[in-house]
Amino acid sequence: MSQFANLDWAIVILYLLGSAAIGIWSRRYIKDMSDFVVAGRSLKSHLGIATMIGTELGLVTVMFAAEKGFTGGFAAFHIAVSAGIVCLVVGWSGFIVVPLRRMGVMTIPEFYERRFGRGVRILGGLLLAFSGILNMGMFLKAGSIFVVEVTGLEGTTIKWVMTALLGLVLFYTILGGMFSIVLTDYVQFVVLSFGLIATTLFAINELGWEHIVSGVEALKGAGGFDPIASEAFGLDYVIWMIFLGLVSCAIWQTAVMRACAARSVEDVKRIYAWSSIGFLIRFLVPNFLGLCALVYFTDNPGFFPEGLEGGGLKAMPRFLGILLPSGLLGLVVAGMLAAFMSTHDSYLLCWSSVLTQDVIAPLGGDRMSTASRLKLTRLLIFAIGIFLLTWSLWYELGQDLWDYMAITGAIYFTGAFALLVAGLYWKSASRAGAYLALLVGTSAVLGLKPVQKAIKANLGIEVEWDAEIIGISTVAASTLMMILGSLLFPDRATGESVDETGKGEVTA
Amino acid sequence: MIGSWATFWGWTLGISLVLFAVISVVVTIGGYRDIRSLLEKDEGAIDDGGGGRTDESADGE
Repeated sequence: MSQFANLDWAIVILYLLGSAAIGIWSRRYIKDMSDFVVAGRSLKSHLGIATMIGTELGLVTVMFAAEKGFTGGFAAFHIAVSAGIVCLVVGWSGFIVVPLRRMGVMTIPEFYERRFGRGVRILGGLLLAFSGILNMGMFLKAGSIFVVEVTGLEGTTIKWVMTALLGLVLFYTILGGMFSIVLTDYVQFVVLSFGLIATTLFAINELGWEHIVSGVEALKGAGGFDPIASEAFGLDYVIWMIFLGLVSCAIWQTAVMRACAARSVEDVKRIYAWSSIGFLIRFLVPNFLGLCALVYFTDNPGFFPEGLEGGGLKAMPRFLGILLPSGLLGLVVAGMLAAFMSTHDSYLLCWSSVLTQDVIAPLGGDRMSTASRLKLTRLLIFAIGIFLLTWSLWYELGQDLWDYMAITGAIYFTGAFALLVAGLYWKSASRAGAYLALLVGTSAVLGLKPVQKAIKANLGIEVEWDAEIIGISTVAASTLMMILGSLLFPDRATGESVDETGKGEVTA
Repeated sequence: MIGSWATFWGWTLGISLVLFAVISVVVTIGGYRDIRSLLEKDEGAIDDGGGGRTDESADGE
């Protein structure tokens, strides 16, 4: 059924070996923690855009966005449009990211310390790493589904393939840090961006635009186009997506790291303004491929015996395996696997450096040497990799991949949103408010289906809340706690805040 | 109503693809130049035993 042939395997293997070679070669440029984590803060605009899109346009993004297109039709496009518009507004206004870059911090918890004190940094770092690592938990599973479906490999082989891929990522991330990530992200950006454009045109050419539209209309009616009228979405979901658009580009640590790594404030704004197209496309194209798969498998149900109600994650890769000719398929799969590794390397580096810089080093009174920090970060990258392998094999998803990711991320970013906005733009924001906002933000974990099942099983309470309701409520509660905590328990030295220029001096 | 939505999403997809294609070309060429200058700067720093690196200020401007 799949067109994946020896030529495609050769393209994929050559590509992966090239990525490993870059990792080894980049090692010579690593001299200190700044080189390892933010590439010496030397990214210019073009490279910054390539690496930002390269990281955010991951295989997992493609998979969950395609699943949304498969279940929601054209109405899923609102996720892409929200993400693109919000990123553009952040680029124009510099909201959150410019003051952070001016402060010269490497991580968001580092900002917490400057603004709210060391305890908030440690708690924030711990929650950020916990949420981020949990968020990555399904990456390997999504990646393995992609490879199985697109290549036609059988399930047992694929576990070994994914383990080998993870090993490759660990290898070059541990060696090269941000330099290797920047270089591999660039190559991945080039391959994947042109590959996705070609694939989209191929799909339209094969199915026909009119047929795609009429197919979605026949299956889903008006709800397949209007996100408010859609059974899969609705107004509360659209609001949640607008907020997630802000989170993805301005609050999520892996994106903010690009702002921290930019050469200047002007570069930050330029990177964000131009990356908005990438943030739009990273959802839009996979959404479209997902709905093309829906139309194709409706026409050819024999190729998708799982039925249209289930197996949404499998549809897009299986559709690509059937649609694309050998050669182009190998290039797209190589780009996707590179995207898989690119997201992994950035996230592994991000969460391990947060644990080192923001939790372990501050707990030890910041007496750790640069060499020890580098060693610890590399050790943590390895440990997180082992956790991911275990988690992806054992955890039962129970909901759409995108909703799982939004909720696990929300454990951190609902509190972080309150801390960043209040900390940067409200002089009276206090340490007590920050602690309360962070702790209340953890209640987002209630949005995970296995947690809801556990509550029902152990406490007998029926919990059937949708992820978007939990998410919006947690944002509101965290923000309220930040305000109430700051008003009721102001910092002892009144007027503590980031100064007007946002350079990070705390004024007493 | 469905026709209007289909037209809107069609134009959104078309315009986004064209913009993305333009950006991809520009970033591919510009990114290559950025990598060369980034590596040349660091080659200099390695040759100088690390002393040749130009440290940007926190503002970077």
